[in-house]
Amino acid sequence: MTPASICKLRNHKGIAARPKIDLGSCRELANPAAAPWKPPTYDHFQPKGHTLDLKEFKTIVDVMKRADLTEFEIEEEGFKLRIKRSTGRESPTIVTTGNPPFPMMGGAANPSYQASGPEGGESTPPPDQQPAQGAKQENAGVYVRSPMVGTFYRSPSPDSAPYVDTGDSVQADTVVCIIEAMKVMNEIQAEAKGRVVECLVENGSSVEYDQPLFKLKP
Amino acid sequence: MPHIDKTILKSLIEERSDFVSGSQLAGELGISRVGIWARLEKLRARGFAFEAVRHRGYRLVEEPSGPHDRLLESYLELWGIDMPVYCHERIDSTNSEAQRLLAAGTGTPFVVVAAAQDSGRGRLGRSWYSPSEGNLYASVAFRPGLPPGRMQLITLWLGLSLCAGLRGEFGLNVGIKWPNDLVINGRKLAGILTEARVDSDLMRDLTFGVGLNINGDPSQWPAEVSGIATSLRRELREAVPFNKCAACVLASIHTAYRDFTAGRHEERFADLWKQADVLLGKQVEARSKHQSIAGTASGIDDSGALLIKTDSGNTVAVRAGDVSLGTNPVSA
Repeated sequence: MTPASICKLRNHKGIAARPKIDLGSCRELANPAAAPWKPPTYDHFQPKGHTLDLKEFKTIVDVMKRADLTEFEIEEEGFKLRIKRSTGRESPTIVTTGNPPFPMMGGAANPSYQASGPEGGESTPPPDQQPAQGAKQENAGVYVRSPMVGTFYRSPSPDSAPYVDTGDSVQADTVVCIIEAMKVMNEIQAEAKGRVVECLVENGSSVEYDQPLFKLKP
Repeated sequence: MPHIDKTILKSLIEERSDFVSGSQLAGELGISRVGIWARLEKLRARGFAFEAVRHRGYRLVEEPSGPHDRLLESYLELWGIDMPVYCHERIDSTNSEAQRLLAAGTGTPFVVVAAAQDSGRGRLGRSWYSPSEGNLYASVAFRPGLPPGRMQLITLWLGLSLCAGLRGEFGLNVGIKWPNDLVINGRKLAGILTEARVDSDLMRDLTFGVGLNINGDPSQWPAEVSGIATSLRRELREAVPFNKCAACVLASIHTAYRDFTAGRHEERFADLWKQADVLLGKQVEARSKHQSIAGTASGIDDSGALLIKTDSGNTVAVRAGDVSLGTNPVSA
């Protein structure tokens, strides 16, 4: 981000409604060679007690393994870590308080793949294994597939008409829907010429990578 | 040949406290001293003020209070970023204009800035209140040409970069409300709308739209936003030089994008997120079309999804939807 030396607006005192340039606070700008643009440092976050990064954690576990220790405990202000290790096949027990370490619950809680089950599941057909662009098979139909995991929207906003409807003709570059993935609104194109035979996913449901979204008749 | 106004403004910003000789500028640009004077007169009409002293030259004493394309480009260039800026007094939406320019083949990266938007928008076509009173409405466009899977965290990283920058510049306690709203004490300071076009499994283009309340006065805004929004001016109790602040934001976006596509965000992302996350440990409710999940916010997973620990003890990953802070936990 912007290094403080580049534009220290914080010390900018006595600015009238129409901003004036405070020469003092902008002095660093006078000589760009002395204050070149620096890559972001992200140093402006206040440290909130100790946190553990993956590297530190690995180091501790390695040391424990080498010394054949079964238990490790560390405690400082606002932070406590205890690792128990068995010499058998069981996985180690990790107990922390204070700031959570790196997200270790990630794998256990990833229900995205079930998301389309109970919700909009009924309209989701079994994944079709034929090549996406089955141009040779005349009547087989071509599927527009999702290039990502995300949320499927048929229109740019809830009040507007869908991008395409059953019976519409589409070109390869026709936008057929939006898939929202981590707040990036991705416009998806048909990638093939044809007529929309069926919309396979309900508006607002989750979609998986490669899931068929629309069936086209070439 | 570089634009004459940009060259003049760059020299004036570089020197700041010092005078820039008119004849030296004339020599550099290959125009007459009268020509320089004429350009400065035109800039005066656009809100600049210059001090002119005989035998010494010109000095910049005041910047326009609204966006100025050549001034923004001058700042960016001074910081080593070569990025054209297209300014408008009014426009429907800077993201829409950026997408029109992308479709017309305009080279990237570039910036679209408007003093006001007629139909500024947020996620799912929601409107973004965009009056003409010194707020930033800008879009920065790129052509990544990368698989969308690789771009998953970019909008979170961008929010984090803007958050870090604003904290550093202004000493304000800016935080992030998942996924990428910038907030101060629960009031929204800035919003980001990221739109992309995907074809043949590649992200062809990517537009970051940013609305940042700089010098606006939220108490004058419509009731539905005045209570939940804030501006830099409101928090700092003084006006902020618009173009310099805007250029900082644009430079940050450019740098954040460059770092992200080079993979330089990976090492610090999780740690920084924890420090900026205003939802962490709070009672929240996530709503989407099909479901509503209430529980305690517990950070994000590797894919950027919000983790909510429900009362029954399960941790659920939320990928999309609206999250609100709730005070009373739902009794199961």
